[in-house]
Amino acid sequence: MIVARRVYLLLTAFIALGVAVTGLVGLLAFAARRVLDSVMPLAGQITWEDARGEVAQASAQALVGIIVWGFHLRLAWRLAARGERAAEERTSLLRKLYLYAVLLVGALIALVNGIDLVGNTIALGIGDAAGRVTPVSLIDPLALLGVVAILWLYHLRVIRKDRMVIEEAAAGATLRRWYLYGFSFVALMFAATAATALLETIWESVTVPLASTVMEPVAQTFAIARAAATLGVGIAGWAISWRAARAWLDRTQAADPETSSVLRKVYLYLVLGVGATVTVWNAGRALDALLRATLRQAVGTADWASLTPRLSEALPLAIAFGLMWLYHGRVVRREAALAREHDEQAAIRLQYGYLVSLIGGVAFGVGAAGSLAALLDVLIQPGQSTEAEIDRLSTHLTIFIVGLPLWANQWRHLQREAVTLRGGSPVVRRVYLFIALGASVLTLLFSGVFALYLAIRGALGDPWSNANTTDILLAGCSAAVASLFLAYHLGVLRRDYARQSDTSGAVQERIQAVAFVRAVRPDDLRQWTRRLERSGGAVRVVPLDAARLAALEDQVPGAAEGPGAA
Amino acid sequence: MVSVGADATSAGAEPGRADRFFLAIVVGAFALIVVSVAAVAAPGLRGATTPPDPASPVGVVHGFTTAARAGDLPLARSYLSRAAQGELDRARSGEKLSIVDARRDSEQRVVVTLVSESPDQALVRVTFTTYSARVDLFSSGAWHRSVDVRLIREAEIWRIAWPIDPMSLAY
Repeated sequence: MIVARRVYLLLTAFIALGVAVTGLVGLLAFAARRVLDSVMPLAGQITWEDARGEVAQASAQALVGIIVWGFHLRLAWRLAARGERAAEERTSLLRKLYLYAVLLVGALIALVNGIDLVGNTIALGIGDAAGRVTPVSLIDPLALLGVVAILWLYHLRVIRKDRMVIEEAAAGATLRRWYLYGFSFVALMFAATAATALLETIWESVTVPLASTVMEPVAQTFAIARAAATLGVGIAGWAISWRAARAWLDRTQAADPETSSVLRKVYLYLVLGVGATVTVWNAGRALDALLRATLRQAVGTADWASLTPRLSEALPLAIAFGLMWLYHGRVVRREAALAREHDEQAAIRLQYGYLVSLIGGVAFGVGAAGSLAALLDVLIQPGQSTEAEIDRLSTHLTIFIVGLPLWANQWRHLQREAVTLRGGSPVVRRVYLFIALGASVLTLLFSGVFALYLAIRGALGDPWSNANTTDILLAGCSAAVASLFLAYHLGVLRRDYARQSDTSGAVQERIQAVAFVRAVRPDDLRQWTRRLERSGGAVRVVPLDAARLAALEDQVPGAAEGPGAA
Repeated sequence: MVSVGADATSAGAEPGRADRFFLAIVVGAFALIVVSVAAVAAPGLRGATTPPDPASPVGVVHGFTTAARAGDLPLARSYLSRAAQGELDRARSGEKLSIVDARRDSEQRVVVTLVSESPDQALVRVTFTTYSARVDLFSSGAWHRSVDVRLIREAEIWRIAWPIDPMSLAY
């Protein structure tokens, strides 16, 4: 019953708050337009007769919205103010959901409208000859920001009060993380994308050839204003929310510390995944453009003029998202230095690592086979070096150059960790290895079938063409690279199995111990136990009271020597 | 006795010490904003905006593009070579000599660049950059389209040999 009551009260309050905000913004914007109109007459300003409907609607929304919101929220808050259920109410999932939903929606509205406001202000400052941005353009975002800021601060105050009464843990802490990391991610993506746009604009401004003329330069002015506003507001939003997340990380004695948060790891690896994908892809595009121009130069068909536009988007994307990738990679490395990493957190890190390895490995393999085939083709059929052949060689070389460090870097770390693991490799490692084995075997199969098909066609009298030579070279090189991959990954798998059987026996023979463990929280004991079990150990936990502990310590030599002695 | 959960240290955050990389990102972002605004505001950096010599290859293509974007087909046709004019007339046989739905896109920047020039031939590249009204995630928000325009000399005047249809340079 109490849950149904909370759902009704808070859901109604949330909807009514939206209606009230719409009405208040409408009224505020209308009042601001009237004031502006009296100071400087505005072209196309609606008359009072036209505005009656707008004012009536906004007033009705504001009035009804505020009354309904205030009434329902008062009822909901009353439970938390006093009485037996006060503590339960303050920590209730629905209350936290309402509060953090309002904070998240408010922050996102502030982000988008802040971008509009700053963008229009910059455009006005730079000068807009076409008259697309006027002072009126500032009114709506300003009104929305004002109303949302007041309501956002009110809800933040309620949350802080709740935290002072009862520390946030479990579902409440999870919802806070959804809000904090969700907003950080959105703001960061906006900032990185806008930085790309700004870098590209600078690049285009600087690289306009001398014998050129520019038509409609105002379009670029507006693009700059929008991107500058997005970068400024996005980076400010990210910096504030990320610093707040860092502050939570420093509270190591909290009931639900950030160091054990799975959502934090999800955020970090999501940012790393996006950063790695965009950076590697665009670094590859830029490298491909450079290689293509260089190789074409060798055969006298270089088109250096088309290089600049090819680089203009790829390089800025690689730089902006590359910085984001580097920074978060550094954060992950620092956090990995922590003594404890929970199973779920480790699982997310390993999934990311093996996924990047897989993508890098596939790129490395495809690139190696394609480059080798294209090079042999050029050597065997030198007269056939067309632009298409050069582009093919360039593309495969790029895939190879990008894929090799991506795979090697991740795989090196994963291999080092796998050697220290006891009691079998994680599931994700086995999945990776079997995918690598399966892909290698299938490549061998298809290459073999294709080569045989060409050979049989030739034997049946089909004339052998240059294209057949190119195809059979590709099939042969693919088979060769696939064989190497197959041999290497089979070796890794066999060593993993050997290590697993070695350690399972060794545990029984070598390490037999009684540990006296004092855990602050039950969850800590569970984590500690799980870590030992994960590395192949067998743990039996017997809770003890103080008297029994003292008795046991007397029986075990050295057990009573204090912390760290066991 | 092994103590579990009591001595957690933060993730290398080193309380009280500023994260220099974090600060560099924030300061760098704001520096980038200032540099970008300055780059656009500085007239020398955004390329020549004054019309070029109308007798030059760039000037002819500039005139052709301006006429095409304004929807003035007869004027655009006058920049074509005789052979190209004949081809255009055949292609547009029965159609009115105007680009009815041509409209200038103010979100588009056009750069006309000379690629190569010899005594009787020239190649000019027209690059259209269309900017998105909002910042689109994972994209710079700018789309490029290039059209290579071939010119020949006819009676000592540069004329466009290809493309013959002004519509290809209207948007």
